[in-house]
Amino acid sequence: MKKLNLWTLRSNVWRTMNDEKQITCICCPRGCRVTAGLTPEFHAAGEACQRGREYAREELVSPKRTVTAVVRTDSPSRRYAPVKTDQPLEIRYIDALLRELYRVRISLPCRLGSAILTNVHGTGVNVVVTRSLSDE
Amino acid sequence: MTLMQPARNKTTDAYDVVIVGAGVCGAAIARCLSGYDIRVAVVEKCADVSFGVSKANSGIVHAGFHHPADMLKTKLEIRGNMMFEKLQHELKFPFERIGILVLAFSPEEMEVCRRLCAQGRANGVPRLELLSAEAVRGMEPVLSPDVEGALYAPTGGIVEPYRYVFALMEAAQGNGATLLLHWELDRAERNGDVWELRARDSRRVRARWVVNAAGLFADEVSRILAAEEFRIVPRKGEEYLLQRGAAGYPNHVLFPVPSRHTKGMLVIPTVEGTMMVGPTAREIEDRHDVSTTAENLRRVFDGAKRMVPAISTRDIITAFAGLRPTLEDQDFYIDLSRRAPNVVQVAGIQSPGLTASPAIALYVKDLLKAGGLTLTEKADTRTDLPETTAVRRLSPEQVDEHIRRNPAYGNIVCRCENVSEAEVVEAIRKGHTTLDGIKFYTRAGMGRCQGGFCTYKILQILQRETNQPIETFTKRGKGSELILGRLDT
Amino acid sequence: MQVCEYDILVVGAGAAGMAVALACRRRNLRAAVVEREEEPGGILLQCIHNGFGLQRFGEELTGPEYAERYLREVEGTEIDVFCGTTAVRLTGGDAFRSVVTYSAKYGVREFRVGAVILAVGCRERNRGNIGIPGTRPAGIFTAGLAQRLTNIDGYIPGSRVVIVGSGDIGLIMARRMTWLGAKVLGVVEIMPTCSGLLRNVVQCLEDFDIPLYLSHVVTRIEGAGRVRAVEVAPWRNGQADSRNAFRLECDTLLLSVGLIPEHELARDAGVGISPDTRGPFVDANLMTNIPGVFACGNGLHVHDVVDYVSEESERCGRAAADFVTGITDTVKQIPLHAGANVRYVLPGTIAAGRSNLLSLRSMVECEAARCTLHRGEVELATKTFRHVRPAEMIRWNISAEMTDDMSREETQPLDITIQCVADDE
Repeated sequence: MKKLNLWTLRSNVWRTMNDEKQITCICCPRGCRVTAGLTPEFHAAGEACQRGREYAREELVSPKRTVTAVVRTDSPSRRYAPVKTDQPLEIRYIDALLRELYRVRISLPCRLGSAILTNVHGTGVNVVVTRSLSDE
Repeated sequence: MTLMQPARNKTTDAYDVVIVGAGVCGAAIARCLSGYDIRVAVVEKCADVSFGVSKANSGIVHAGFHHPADMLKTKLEIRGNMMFEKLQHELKFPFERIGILVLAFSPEEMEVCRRLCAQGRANGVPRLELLSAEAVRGMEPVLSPDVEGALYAPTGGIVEPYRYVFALMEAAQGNGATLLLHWELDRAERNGDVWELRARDSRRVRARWVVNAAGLFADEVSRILAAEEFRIVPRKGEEYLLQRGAAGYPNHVLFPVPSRHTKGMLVIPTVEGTMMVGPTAREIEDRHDVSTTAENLRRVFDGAKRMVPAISTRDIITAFAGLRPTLEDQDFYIDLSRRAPNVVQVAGIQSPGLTASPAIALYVKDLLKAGGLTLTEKADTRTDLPETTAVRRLSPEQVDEHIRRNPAYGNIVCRCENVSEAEVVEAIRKGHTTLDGIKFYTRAGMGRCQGGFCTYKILQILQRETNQPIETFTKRGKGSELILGRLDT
Repeated sequence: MQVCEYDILVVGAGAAGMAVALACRRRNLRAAVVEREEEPGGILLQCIHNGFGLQRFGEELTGPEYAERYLREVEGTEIDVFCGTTAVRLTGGDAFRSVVTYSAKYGVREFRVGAVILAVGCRERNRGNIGIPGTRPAGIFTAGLAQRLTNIDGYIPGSRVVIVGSGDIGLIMARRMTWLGAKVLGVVEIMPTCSGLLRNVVQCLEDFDIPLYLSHVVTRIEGAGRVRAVEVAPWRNGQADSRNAFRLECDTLLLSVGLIPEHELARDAGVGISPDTRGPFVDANLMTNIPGVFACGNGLHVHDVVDYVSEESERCGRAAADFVTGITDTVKQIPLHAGANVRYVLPGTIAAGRSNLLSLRSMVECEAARCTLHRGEVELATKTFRHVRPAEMIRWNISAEMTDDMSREETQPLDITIQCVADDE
């Protein structure tokens, strides 16, 4: 029996001997350990599905994350509304986005799915409200 | 009771008696003196009443057999014990005279029980009885089969300690006594026949008499008053609170036979159906050390399980530690100061201080009188407090009636203890504006979830009632702030 | 006291409550839901992170989005939802089940109903439950309380944070606190493995280089007013190795050390409580020992993902509807016990001749494990599962064919075991 203790690994992405990377796929709770590299061309092993393969490629080329946060509303009773990026955003833009979101103020009522920021840093990613709220 | 007094700009307030310390003694003395035609103030360094020694009390009303008759604390204990029915009738705090059992596990321990029984009878404790193993197990089925007999003291009881202290202070304030919180004594001067006391924040009060009921800090207060030199040694006790419905809940307070310094590890059913086990007893240096340790958890549970095998650490809700203020001779020191004029010392009030507290108040009143303070009974003294409402004690029909008058009784804030919004608001309006103060007054946050669900609701109600920013709310006063920031600031 | 009559009363309008009420409504029953909070949605509303709904809807939703799908559906039906209403007493009975509720808006009510479904959720284990020694300062929060404060109220509990326990809420809160500008100094886990989902370890800790101290415990909390520091020590052979202890200066301690079904309403009514799940014992219909009283969701046992809560609750709703409409369940139920390496299995019986979805928790961690259903020495069914670990629930559907002949057998109890096997089997 293979004894593999995943949890002692300190980083999501780490290098192996031949410049490949090991990536823990997070597309589903299964958590496939994918070994992937870009040379001479993209290759991956260990993934159980196509999504895992795509995820590994993304993690190598430009890792992205869905960002969730709350933004201030103009209501005294429901002071915050939850929001998310409608697609994963490149990790390098996350801090700047959060800073911007913490300054935003939206007015109620708001509908689930309505955009409060569009085309974040020219990435085409929008920030949308994730809960319909009325000011009551 | 209004604890949040607006700061007065008058230079100094003048009183006949200032009591230093709003623990069980200070509150009992204040209530007693508030029945006379004098001006009384209580100064307290903490954010609320009973936040020092008193809040970690085990809540036992002792019977009076543990100590010999020649100790002052024995006389006051027995006298105090007998006053509790009347006090409960007047002040409406939870109290039940459920009786105490001291359990013997060997012929030698049974001999100790016999000695305690004889000592108690000599002290004047009524209705003490020695029980056989069969008799005691008949009374208390949860006991270990190893119990060989017991001393039974039916006059022992249990009380909710904070509600008792809160009620004493509320009654005192209802009769005109003043309570000053966050008021930590820094300096004292005698000008003519008047004491001038100054707090760390430079507030001042003047008084003809000072009563030192400062608990763990009574020696420091005595030094500030240039009165007697003595040393308070904190004796730490760690206790564990077990949830309602826990296995092994007894019908009586259970004691092992005592050792020289302590009454031992006890099993204490509380008036609310929870159970306490402990306390440990260890003399320490640090007067702020209320930490608990893993080692003592084992000791406490070993001690408790010896008496009641069904008790389990699985039922622990929380652990806490208290410090008993002890003097070297282990007795209470209650007397007129022989060094400083017009000072009454109330020091070394360890166990059975809560039991003795109403008698201590009378004793102090007599000392003040003997010292020359004129005490004339007020005609309009109110001895009774109004009944307060606790939804958890009412039938659905009664709750329905309350909701008709005040809908906030229908909004259950604390699901574990069934505490309504109305009770929380009442606590806040009475001046209990810290999370711990509200918890001790209402029990919200004292149950199985330990505030996991009710904390944010209480913060909301606090904000609405006091109109203060969220960052100002604390667990138990300045320095224990709960929320350190906000997204919108 | 007003008496209200319905076919079904659901206690709790969270993920479980909404799903179960909808399932009952689909059978044209008159259903009411009581919810103690001011609005329906439950804990999902404070789980603003994404990762919900993959199993259920095949897409990744945030908690509020997941809740809103159900809320909209509930709004479109004739289900009566009473918010700000706390159930305080449950009683079984021959003619009807009774639930007494308190509410500022509706006063005291007694619901007399055909079936009661407990969808009450769970609470977080706290400091007292795990016995962390030390002082009792401000700044100690359960992770869920901290989540509520940050995600609903916009409050920031603290600036230097240590998290105890690697449960999912703790991991999620590590990222949340970091995104709010706080410094998370580490996650301390007593077990040698992480108890949260893998994706959360990757995205919430490793993305931010937050140390995960496995096989470590907090041995002391310091601080008089507010938390000042915690002492952390390795956990070896059942005790803290204090010689290798270290100190982390922090102002906040978040506890993510497990969840316990809120079973008190059920227990006080006389419902049997399992010492393993801490929730009610239920049969194959998710009914407790009190006829007409059902339980589902995290109030029954703690689930890994909300999708399974919804699924279980719908099953529960159908069974409760059967009970109320008098579709008497004549199916034989055979007791089912947890055997070797199984911490618990739910439900407590298997219905013969039907398919049965079992939820199991393993006591062992292995790459591959074989689950076996036994009657005495006889193996009735077996299946191999991969990546088995205590933190992840195993769901095993025993098909109707497998249980078909059970209705003819005598009702000898069954048991279920887990056995680690070679990876390539």
